[in-house]
Amino acid sequence: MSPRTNRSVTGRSGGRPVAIRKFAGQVSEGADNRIRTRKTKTRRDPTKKGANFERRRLRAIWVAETVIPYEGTVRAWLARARVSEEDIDDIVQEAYCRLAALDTVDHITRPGAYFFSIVRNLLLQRIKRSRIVSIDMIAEIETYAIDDSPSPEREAAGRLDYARLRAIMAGLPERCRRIVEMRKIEGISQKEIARRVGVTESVVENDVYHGVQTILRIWRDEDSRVTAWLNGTQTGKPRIDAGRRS
Amino acid sequence: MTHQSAREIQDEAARWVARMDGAEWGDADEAELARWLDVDPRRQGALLQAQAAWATLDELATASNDDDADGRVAQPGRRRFLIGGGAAIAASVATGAFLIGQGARYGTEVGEIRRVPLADGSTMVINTASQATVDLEKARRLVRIRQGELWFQVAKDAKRPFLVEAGRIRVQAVGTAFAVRRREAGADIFVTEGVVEAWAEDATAPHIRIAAGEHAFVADNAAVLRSPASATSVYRALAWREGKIDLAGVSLADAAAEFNRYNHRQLVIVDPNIGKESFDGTLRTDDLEGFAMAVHESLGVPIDLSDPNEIRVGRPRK
Repeated sequence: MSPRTNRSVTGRSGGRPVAIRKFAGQVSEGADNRIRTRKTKTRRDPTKKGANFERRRLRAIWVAETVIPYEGTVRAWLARARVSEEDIDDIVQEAYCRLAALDTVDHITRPGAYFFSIVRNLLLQRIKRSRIVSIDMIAEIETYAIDDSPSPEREAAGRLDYARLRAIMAGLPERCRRIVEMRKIEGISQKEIARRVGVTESVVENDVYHGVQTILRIWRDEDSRVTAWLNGTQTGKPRIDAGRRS
Repeated sequence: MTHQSAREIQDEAARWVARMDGAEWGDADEAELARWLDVDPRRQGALLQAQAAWATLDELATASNDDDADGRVAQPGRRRFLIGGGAAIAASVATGAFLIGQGARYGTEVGEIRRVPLADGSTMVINTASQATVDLEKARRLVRIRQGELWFQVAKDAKRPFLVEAGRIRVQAVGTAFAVRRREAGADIFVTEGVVEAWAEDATAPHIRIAAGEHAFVADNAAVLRSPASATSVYRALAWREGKIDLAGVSLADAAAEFNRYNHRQLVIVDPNIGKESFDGTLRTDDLEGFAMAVHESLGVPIDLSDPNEIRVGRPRK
């Protein structure tokens, strides 16, 4: 089965009315209309923590809202392609690298699909390097696209459940949970938390570190939940069996 | 250096996130972080992943604040669709919006443009791949843009200002028509009628006024970038309301980015040398192939239509 259609461009008949012409450099009324070309030059240093700090913070918020909800789906997809857990970690980390390296993410309208296509390309690179798989399989992976259309079911599956989050928080050691909650729910600074709890700031920072590790683990483990969901409702999708990986 | 596993790197990244989360962060910290990042390119990704994962917990605050708001059960936060059971999902399929309490959630898929009449007599048009919630409260009308772009024709009601939130950016109007597009670090505001007031939350900068025919970009840090006032350029930027893209002299790279907002299949400019070429004309938002063909014909560059996921312009895939 080949989903590819090699259509000849020149042989196309019934060319549609082309309502477009090359803008030959002349001054037209649209010449001042450069409203979409602004990029990052408006970014200044809005906090005392520095411009780089702020840039990282904004990118992280964007990733938190738009990409992380898909991480479980992407991991589940890799797992179904029989990629080892260690390799999944590597690929996912590298995909986040690509996101970190972008100058801007304004052009990305479907972050889930974008993230998935990065992952897919990274997987293809690895597979081609390992030379153990058939061309058919590569073609299959190349044409498989994630369906990230925002159906309510999908949103529900891709989102961290609030109650679940609270339950996980409850599983943290008491002081650690309290500190994460003060930091994230009440928005109290680490310094102030240290004062209220009566511990040093480095103790607070260390508990935050455990909080970060915990939330990373939660998102990593989402894939088992998503796998179950995929298997339950996505029977029509192509199966990806990547074969053994060396 | 011994080879670190992805998990080991992630562990160190988590340490950095905890440190950045604290109050103190100066040039020395920044320099130390830069040195750590330089050692292995993977660390950049690990840091983003850890920082983003930590940021997902901010939803806890949203959800719990909603609980606290005068003991109301209705919560206009993100939590609403987490708790949406079968009934809510069924309702959303029927109406296209989640109706829980006072808030309603609206969204569009890629390429979809929806016109939604609101109960107060206002109308909103939702552009491609956008999501927003609407709360028509007694004292004010509040729209939160989670993603994308919306245009509003606001019904006059002096007692209930119409407030749009896009990240940290706020835009307020009484009776007027305007569009807001949320960006990574701010929002674009296009005004077609009347005047709106815009500002960045938590910033001390004064509110700015944007009048009909004007466009401004307000950054999260309150920096403002105004385009020269031109009613035609504002209308061009809002051609999406009729399902069209008005190119009006924009570069090929920008035009491709614009088409890619509306289509699953993506236009990829392979040859950076042609990205600066300018184009003029009006096309349907879904006419990706028509645009590619026109580029092919006017620039004489090859296009590759063989991939169902993308159209490559410039040079065929090897």
